[in-house]
Amino acid sequence: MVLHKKIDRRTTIKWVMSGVAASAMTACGDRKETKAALDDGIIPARPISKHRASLGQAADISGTPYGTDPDLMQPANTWSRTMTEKQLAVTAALADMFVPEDEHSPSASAVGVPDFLDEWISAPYEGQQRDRAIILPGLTWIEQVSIGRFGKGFATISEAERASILDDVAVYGQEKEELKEGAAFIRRFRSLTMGAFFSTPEGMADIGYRGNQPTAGPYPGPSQEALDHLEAHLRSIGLKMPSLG
Amino acid sequence: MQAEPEHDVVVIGSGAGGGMAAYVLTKAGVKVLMLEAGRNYDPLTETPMLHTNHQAPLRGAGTKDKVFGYYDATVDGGWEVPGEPYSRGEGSEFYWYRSRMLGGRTNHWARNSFRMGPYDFKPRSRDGLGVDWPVTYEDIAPYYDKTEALVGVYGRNDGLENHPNSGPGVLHDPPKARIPELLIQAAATDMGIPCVPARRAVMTRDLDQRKACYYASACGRGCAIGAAFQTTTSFLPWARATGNLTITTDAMVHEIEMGEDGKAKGVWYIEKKSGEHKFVPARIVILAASAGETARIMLNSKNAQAPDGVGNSSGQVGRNLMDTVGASMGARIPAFENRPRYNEDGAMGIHMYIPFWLYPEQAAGKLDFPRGYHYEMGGGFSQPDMGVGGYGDMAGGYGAKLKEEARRYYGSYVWFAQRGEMIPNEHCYAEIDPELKDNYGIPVLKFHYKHTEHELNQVAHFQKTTLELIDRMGGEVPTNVPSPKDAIAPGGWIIHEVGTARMGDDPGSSVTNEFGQSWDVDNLFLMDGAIFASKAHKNPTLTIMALAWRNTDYLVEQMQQGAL
Repeated sequence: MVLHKKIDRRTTIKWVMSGVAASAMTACGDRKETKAALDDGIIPARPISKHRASLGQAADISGTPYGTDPDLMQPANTWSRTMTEKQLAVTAALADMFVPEDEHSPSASAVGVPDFLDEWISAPYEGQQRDRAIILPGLTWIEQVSIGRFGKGFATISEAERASILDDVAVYGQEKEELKEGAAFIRRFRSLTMGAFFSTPEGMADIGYRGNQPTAGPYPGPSQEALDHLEAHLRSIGLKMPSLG
Repeated sequence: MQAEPEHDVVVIGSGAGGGMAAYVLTKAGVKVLMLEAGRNYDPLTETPMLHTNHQAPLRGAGTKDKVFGYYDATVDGGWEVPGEPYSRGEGSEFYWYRSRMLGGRTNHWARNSFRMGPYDFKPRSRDGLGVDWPVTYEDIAPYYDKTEALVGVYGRNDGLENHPNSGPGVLHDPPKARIPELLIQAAATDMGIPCVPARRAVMTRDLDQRKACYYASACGRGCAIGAAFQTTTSFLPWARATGNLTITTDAMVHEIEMGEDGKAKGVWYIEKKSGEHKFVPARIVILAASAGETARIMLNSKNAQAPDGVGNSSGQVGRNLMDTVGASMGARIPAFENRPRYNEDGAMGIHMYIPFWLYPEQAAGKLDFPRGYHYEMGGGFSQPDMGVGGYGDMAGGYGAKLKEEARRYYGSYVWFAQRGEMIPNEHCYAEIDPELKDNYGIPVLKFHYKHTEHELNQVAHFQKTTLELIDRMGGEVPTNVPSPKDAIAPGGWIIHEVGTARMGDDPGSSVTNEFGQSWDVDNLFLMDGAIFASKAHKNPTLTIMALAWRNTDYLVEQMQQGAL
């Protein structure tokens, strides 16, 4: 209910203000996205290096919305992906920084998150197009940051180098002033990546979703372990366990 | 063109009211033609019961095409329907939700099924506001029992004030409370607030051909096993089995044809696929097209005898529009971080709820709002969707630590929704827009809507009480609580719109008698939410069905006696 925090309009406007530089327009590879970003009040970052980042031009949105009566039994996409190979490579590298492989589950890219993010930002819906106007310029922005710092694109620098960028932009309260303009992009990209990852079968298993299992007979209710955990909390705040009848 | 079948009664609409009417009529041997504006729909073959969000476009996230998400059952519907606009008066915010499918909105509703009580039928007698119903709770009680038994409703008899018990053996056992519900119950009990099993039209034991809930698959998708009630797995197939029901879908009714004798002769509809205008004759016409659409058809049916619309000599058609008072709050429960996992789907909807509990204070004049509200609430380990991304906004950071945070926050939230009674006021009504027409050329509704202090003060009470509850639960008390004016859901947002052709004792101030029979046109009956004289905080569908049964019994009796 309370989890869907939208990108705060004021944040994006601040991003705009900090990023205003006429040269930025021509420095970025994605003019169409730049235009879209301008229309939406978001302008990609100014280049911080004389080397210009270019991830190529994403394809135009194509296809149709799935409509008001799609086949629910056999869901199908009705639009094409639009990211370039380079955009996808940066997306994969960044998604895996947020959701790397660990002992519980694979990485974001191992379960198709980059492809899904491409599906998402390519969708002919208003909400997704708003995200497109954040994500595509944002990818160019982080590519630019990478080139500025390391002389190489984000997909080709080392994990430690990527981490050094994220340490400066992705950790609340520790954002470096010169990278603050990318904060809204980072936040939205992180949110989409996490949503995309944890709704895969691997992500659902990791986070501990145990439902969607048809169960015969009465609903069994909470496990004893879950009840014990609740009871300990209730005791600590002076409440009584309700009767379970 | 096929010849129209023989029929005595035309029923317009296949949702809760129309479905019940068709069921009762066909069982009594009456030939019925049902006209549905939407397409044919079969939940047995069209319900994605166990599909995961992962299989859907955009992980099932809602879009303008499917506002409740990809898998929601609603066909060609939502607050906007392609080709079928509506307008609003200046300064009015109102949203009209429709489904264009057989079974209407019963295919996706929350199945919350609370009985109205004795006070709810006589609100004016209690506080001097609005109007009383022409019926008492005692008149409707047997129909509540029959309806609940037929539909299949889980719940428990708690004997609470103005929350009547069901008859013996009627209710199905409620599912066990889940952890977030138990915490809310513990806090509420400590604060002297009742928290009891909810009542939902979900079966927990097998009944006829329908199967008990198997505790998976969101009810809003529809229910292929029939556990969650919808007319497409019950009333409609049962009525068809009698051989007395014919259903015509894609039939957009727009006008009732009147005879010079003041009786309805039949209805006009547009066959949506061909665009052809067609007329079907009828001995009896039943409007059950939804409160909005029923009023629209009546108002669009103008003739020399009824210049303001058929059945509208009172001028009340379209007036007294009400929706449930809605507001919501959420909170994080730090003690729920990393809590033990288990299958928390349950019956998907609410297992527990908080019924209105302040009747004594209300009667003593101690509250600054006149009518009650209840809580629907929960939380839990629901199937991950794109909303899980919100944990990232909570946590910040990246990498293995971020994954750990997602596990930590999952299932640590609770939500509370207010569902309250609104009092009809003169600013809330629907009329025919003088200019705008839909794609079929039918004049559309123009909505006017305004809340009053009655509703806003009730929201303020809900907010204050919820903050206390959250605090007592050990939750993080929200600090950014919006003002009641900002918090209250706009009209139509709760999808409980009723009252546009209310029943009453007086033909001068109401549209129908106590049986939904038009005062002006005695072979015209209304059997949907339009006839509500008030909008109790209790969700309307169960009452729509109980009233439709009672109205239809009366109609059958009148037909048998030759009065109609």
